[in-house]
Amino acid sequence: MNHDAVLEQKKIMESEWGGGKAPFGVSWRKYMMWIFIVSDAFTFGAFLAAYGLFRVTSAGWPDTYEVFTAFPFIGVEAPMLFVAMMTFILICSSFTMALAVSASYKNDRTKALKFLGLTILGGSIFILCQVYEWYHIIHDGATMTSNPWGVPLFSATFFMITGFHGLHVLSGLILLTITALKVKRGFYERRGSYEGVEIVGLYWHFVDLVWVFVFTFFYLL
Amino acid sequence: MSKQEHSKKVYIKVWIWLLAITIAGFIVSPLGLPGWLHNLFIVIIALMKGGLIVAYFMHLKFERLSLIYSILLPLILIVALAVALLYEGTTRFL
Amino acid sequence: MSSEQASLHVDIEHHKESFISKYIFSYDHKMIGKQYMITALIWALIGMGLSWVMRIQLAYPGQQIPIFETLLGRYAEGGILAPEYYIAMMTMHGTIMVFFVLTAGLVGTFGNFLIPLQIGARDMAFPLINMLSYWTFFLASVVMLLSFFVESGPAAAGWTAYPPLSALSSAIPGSGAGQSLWLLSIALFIVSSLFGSLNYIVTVLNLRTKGMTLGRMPLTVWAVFIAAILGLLAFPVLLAGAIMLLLDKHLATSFFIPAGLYVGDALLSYEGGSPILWQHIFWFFGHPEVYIVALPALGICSEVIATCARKPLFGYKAMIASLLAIAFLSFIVWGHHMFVSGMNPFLGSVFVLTTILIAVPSAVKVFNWLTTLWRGKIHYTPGMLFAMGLVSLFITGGLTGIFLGNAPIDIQLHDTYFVVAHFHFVMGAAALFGIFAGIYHWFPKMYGRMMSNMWGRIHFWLTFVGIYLIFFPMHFMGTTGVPRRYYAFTEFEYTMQYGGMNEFITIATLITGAAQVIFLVNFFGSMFFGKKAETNPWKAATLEWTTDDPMPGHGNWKGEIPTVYRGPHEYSTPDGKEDFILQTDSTGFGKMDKE
Ligand code: HEM
Ligand SMILES: [Cu+2]
Repeated sequence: MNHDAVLEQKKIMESEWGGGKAPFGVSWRKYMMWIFIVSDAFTFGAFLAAYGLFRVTSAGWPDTYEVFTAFPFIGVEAPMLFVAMMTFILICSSFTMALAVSASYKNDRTKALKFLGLTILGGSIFILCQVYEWYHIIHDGATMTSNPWGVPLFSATFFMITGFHGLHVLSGLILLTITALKVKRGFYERRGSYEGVEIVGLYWHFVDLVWVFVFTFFYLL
Repeated sequence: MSKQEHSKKVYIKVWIWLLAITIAGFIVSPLGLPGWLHNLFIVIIALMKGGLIVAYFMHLKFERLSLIYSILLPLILIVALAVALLYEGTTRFL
Repeated sequence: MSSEQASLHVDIEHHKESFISKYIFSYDHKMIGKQYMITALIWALIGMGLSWVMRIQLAYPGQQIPIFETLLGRYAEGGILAPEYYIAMMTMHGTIMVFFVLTAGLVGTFGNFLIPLQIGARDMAFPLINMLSYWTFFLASVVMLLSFFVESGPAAAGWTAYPPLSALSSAIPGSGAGQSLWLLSIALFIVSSLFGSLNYIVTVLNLRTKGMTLGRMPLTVWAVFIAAILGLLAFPVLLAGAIMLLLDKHLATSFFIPAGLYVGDALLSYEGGSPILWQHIFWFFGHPEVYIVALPALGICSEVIATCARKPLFGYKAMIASLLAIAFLSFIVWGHHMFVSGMNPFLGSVFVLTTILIAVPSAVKVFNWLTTLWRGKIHYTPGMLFAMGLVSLFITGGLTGIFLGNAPIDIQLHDTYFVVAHFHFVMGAAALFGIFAGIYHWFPKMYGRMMSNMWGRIHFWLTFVGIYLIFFPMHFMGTTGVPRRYYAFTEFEYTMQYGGMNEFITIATLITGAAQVIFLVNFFGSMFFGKKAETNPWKAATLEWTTDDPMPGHGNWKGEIPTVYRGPHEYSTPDGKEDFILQTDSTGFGKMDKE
């Protein structure tokens, strides 16, 4: 028996990539969510890239500061304030999500539930805001094929991108609700791991992340 | 997963930062900076925000380097598509 | 055994097997792989039938073919295929072949069947979405099939679905319901592929058995793994495009429709869109897609060649590196499909450079195959013949690729039969040979029986010679400018001179197609009447041949999962008792896994 070869073999077997282990130090579930996020980012990336092309090829792209001026109940025009608030809400919900994950790792079920509830609340408010905003610009005359501010592709890309993002928020809310119920019923406690909460959290942060870019590229630029 | 990574303090700090730069991005617009500077500023802010969310909320900063690379490097490809499209859009009639 | 695998094991043992859970909604990766295989074979027959229709039309334009009317009904009234339905048949042929035959037949079949067996896992990481992946694919299949039966016929904008044909419902008959169903089917296919990719990637990374380092994985696993990454990153972009196209079609947006377009006499009111954008989006997906089908075929080829030449694969690491290089480059070459679209010449030259770069890793692969074969003790099994045939086809198609990758030459050759010849060699036939090689090689593991070697060899020679007879002459037609996607070549003198050649190609097609019956009889016959297989009939070194049964059940190994001590292709090593050493052979290392 060659001693060096045995040692070498032992080293290989015990290395992180030597098999029988999770080489990234995360379970396959969590890694699966990560790569799903990468994949989904490519869909959004393609939408945004297409939007970029329309933006640079269309003369007279509408000024978003003149389009998105509505704010409920205040009666005066407040350019972009409403979207800024939506962004604020989504960031807050990401924050509470992070706290929910942190609480669940401390096995604090009540706290985890509380923060999950807040996250769901934030997400729901965001969706409602989006409904309001859609309602408003549809009311102003925007459709998939035309809008009062000029280039038809403006409203078409708006509805497409925010709509696709909205669907993500909606599915995120469903996932969050299921997760909250599982936490409540002690599912993760019995399983001995709160990883499920963290995985849903990843998805939720991603939804927030996408919004940051949509907000930047569509509204602010 | 150590306690410190999930610490509430860090999250609060990150949250405050996120809000601060969101507001910063929001108030530069009416300042009337030259277009390119304004855009640069806005995009940098977006990248910072994205970075904070990914690094802290999504925890990527505390994962192994191999995982970080495997998630971030592929994104170059979609950026390449965006760059090519923008280049096409600005250099030829479409 | 890692704890993740242990829990999987428990799941499996508690899983009661009824007929439905065993054969239909099975969670077993092997059954799912076989489901993919059978479905892909059925699609291959349909795709081939469509190519016959096209070829007969091209050889005998204007002649009445009574059987056309019987088979195709209103698409061929009076036995003459209508021009708009030629294009529809062509579109369906391309789509079916690329997605349902090659993608599903390679990634779906061998990814599912081989990954867990070859890395030493009991199943995929997430069997549920594995099952869903197949059934979503099945649904996509049904939707695609349905489109043959709608009033206006199936989609007819080519497998690339270029707008405006694909975006304006009124453009041609196929642009209506047919195109919508096409898009729906593709969207479902994307979801199915996503499920598959997620599973393959995490399984390969996290569920390898002890000792199975990345550097000890068989090349098939490597290839499918990389193809899964390509799928994960390329398909979502097509999804975005498909959604935009559906919006154009049904909500009258104009993402891909330019201003000032006429249909008939009517000026359309679209404004501001760009058909070129679709081309970018499509090919950003499309080129990686051709490697999604090519890479697994190349991986299978490498493994079969090493096994049947009884030699270690020459340059195992270089093979992996070249797979990775091809995969990366495949994302930045998409513009080579668009040289004639009026692309900015600078951007065009960037794409020329990246495209020509792919020749380097491709050449590395060919070199390594040839050096592996060099002085090997070659066993001419049918699988080996198909693998060697693949090498030949890959060289032929790869060389014409270098022509087409150069913008100045491509401007002459674009959309001619030269292109048809090129992609049928390098993608169509080469990948098909990968499927055949894989099926012949792993059939014993799939069904526990052997296929007939003699009939396999006959099948190989007829197919191999047939492919060259069919597609090689197309190069000549292409260089003289015969355009692709034409219904008949009766209008121009320079195309009319090819009447005889077209007839020749068609006869070759019919004979080659008929030869596939040999395969089908061999395949289905051997399933029931073949000679019982041993556990390791090819004396191969990889893990799947170490299962307790020739045809392993759910869970793959009855006892513990074996530990791996060495590389995957160790043949003719001087210190072995036989001319191969199993990956599980621990001679010299003691029992290290028993702690
Ligand atoms: C049985 C052997 C085959 C024959 C005889 C055959 C024949 C043909 C013919 C006649 C065309 C139409 C060319 C034109 O009108 O421009 C065509 C197109 C095409 N074929 Fe095949 N084919 C075969 C196998 C395959 C396979 C295995 C693939 C898989 C990649 C494939 C992929 C395609 C594609 C992508 C197109 C282009 C469709 C389009 O233009 O949208 N074919 N084939
Ligand atoms: Cu290509």
